[in-house]
Amino acid sequence: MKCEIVKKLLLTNYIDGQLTLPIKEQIDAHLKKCNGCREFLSRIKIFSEKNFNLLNEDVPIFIWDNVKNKLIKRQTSSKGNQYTFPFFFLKKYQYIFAGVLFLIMFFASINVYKLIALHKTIDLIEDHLAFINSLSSDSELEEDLCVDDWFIL
Amino acid sequence: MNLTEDIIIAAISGDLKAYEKIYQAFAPFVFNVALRIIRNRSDTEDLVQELFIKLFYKLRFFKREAKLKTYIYRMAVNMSLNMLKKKNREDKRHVTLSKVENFISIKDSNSTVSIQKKIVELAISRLPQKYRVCFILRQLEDCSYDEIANILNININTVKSRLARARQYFLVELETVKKEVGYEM
Repeated sequence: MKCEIVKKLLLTNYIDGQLTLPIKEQIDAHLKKCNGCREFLSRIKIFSEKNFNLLNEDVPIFIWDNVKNKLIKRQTSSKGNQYTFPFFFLKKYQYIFAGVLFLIMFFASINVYKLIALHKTIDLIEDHLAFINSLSSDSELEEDLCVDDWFIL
Repeated sequence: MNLTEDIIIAAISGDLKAYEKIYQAFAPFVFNVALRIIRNRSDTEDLVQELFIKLFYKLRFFKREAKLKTYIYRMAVNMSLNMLKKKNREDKRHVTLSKVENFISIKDSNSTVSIQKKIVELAISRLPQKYRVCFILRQLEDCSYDEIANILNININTVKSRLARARQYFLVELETVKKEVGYEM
């Protein structure tokens, strides 16, 4: 194993104890032979021995108090507006589903309206034709006209 | 701290006592990571507040603790990096001389342990941003490689190479700081 590779492994997996046994044995064998890598290991042992956690600081107490106060304020202000509250917390797919449903209903309502309008028109034309048939004694108009004939004419 | 599903569900329903338990479990991580990334105490305090207020309204999506933990860790790192950008503080590798001078002035009055802590802190703060984040997560917060990869949304091999670089940089910076301060650890 080359020193470069060994050093890279020492800096990460070896120090953090995440090497498989055969690779660790290879590295240990290399360390026995190589002074440079041994020195390097002694320098970087700081990362496994030194307790860096000691640098961590305590969280100031007032932060929770501020968070709590702000949440209480928001909770009380949202009580008067309960109907809008859950709407903003729908999941993404629920918004998409609602959108698709709305579009379907919108186009369906347009088509239903068109159908109703068409039926009304046909009824009106048929009424007119019936009226014309009843008035006319002309030979051409003796036979009863239906809507289809009227369109052909 | 182990957070049971009951605590999370209670917090979702608006129970602030339950939410306080979640806060106690994750606030130290958020605070310390943000403090090391932003390097400004008052901004860090604002960020912690903002994060936990946002989190309260997003809790319902994370009923399992493992998911919640990763989410909070990622949120903390991302918000810290965003705040850093927002404040337009470029990631200067070297802190100003005045900070080192301040450090030297307090050197005589503090204990050896606290001086060592300050030196290590100074060396960490001098690491380039992307290496610093990896270093903080691994060395200070004891995150596994997998966790770091999840939090930063990067490949595990990238985590390893960044960590190796960060540790190399750290050793160099540690020596530099020690020389500047004239201190032998």
